[in-house]
Amino acid sequence: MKYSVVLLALASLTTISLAQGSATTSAGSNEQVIVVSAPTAKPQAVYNYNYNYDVESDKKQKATPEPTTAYNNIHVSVTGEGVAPVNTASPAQAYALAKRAAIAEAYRLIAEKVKGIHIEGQDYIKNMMVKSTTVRSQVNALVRNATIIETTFKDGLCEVEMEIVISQSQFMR
Amino acid sequence: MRSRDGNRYFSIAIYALIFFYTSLNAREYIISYRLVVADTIVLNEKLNISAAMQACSGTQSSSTILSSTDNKNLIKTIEQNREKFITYLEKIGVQIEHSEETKNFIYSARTIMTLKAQCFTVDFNDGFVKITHIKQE
Repeated sequence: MKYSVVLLALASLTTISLAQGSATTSAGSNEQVIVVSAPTAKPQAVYNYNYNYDVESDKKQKATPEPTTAYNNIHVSVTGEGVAPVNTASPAQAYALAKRAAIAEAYRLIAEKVKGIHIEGQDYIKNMMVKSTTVRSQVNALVRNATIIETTFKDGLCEVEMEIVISQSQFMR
Repeated sequence: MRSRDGNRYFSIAIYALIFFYTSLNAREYIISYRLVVADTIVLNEKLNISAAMQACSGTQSSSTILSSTDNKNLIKTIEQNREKFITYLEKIGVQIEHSEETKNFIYSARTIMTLKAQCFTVDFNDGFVKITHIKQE
């Protein structure tokens, strides 16, 4: 029983290795695979073409534009600031609360940069004099997949550096 | 009367059923989060966790693993890993509502960050808990 299992395993291994060998030889005999990669790590495009090629066609192939999806990503980076409340139980709580506030502000700044901000201004003028001036602004957005790059805490002020990567099509929407 | 060998496969099947039932006991929870910040100071923070009364439908998306000393108590586990869990929730996607007003050159601002009630699958294991977000379709 045990010997039969071992034999079966050996047989399957040999068949797998044979299949891989045949695949590589078939690829090597007919065509060559070139991997063209963008300057950044991803994405990669794979082009297949015949092994017997002339120089002119090679030049033409090189002249074709490379995949440009890597260049279309937009990095939005912001720094949010938060202050610890005065009456905290411990320095750790102060740090945690300041960090929360800083994260919320960083998210708000990302929303402002990506989606925009609604601004409303109002001046009240009476007898040629400005009595009051009011500026209101509003942001309303759903932010997803933002990453915290760095967090610093000094003198009760917490700074959070946050980044989001979005595609150009998403940014233009 | 059955022989001992005849009962072997049946007993293995029963043990396998018991093992999978006890080890893969994923539970579903509804979690929501709300943070209110006024003038860069946190006013209020609330994290609501409750067991789902109905089975959640949707596809599993992102997940996180939290270390746990107390098995089968999600609230305690989240309290132990609060920072990590809230960062995970924020990555899922939060609604930002911000309004600020400058009246006679005096500035005031309020930001509300909300994660609407979402369904999560929780896998309790020895020493860790795996929480997976279920994305509704």
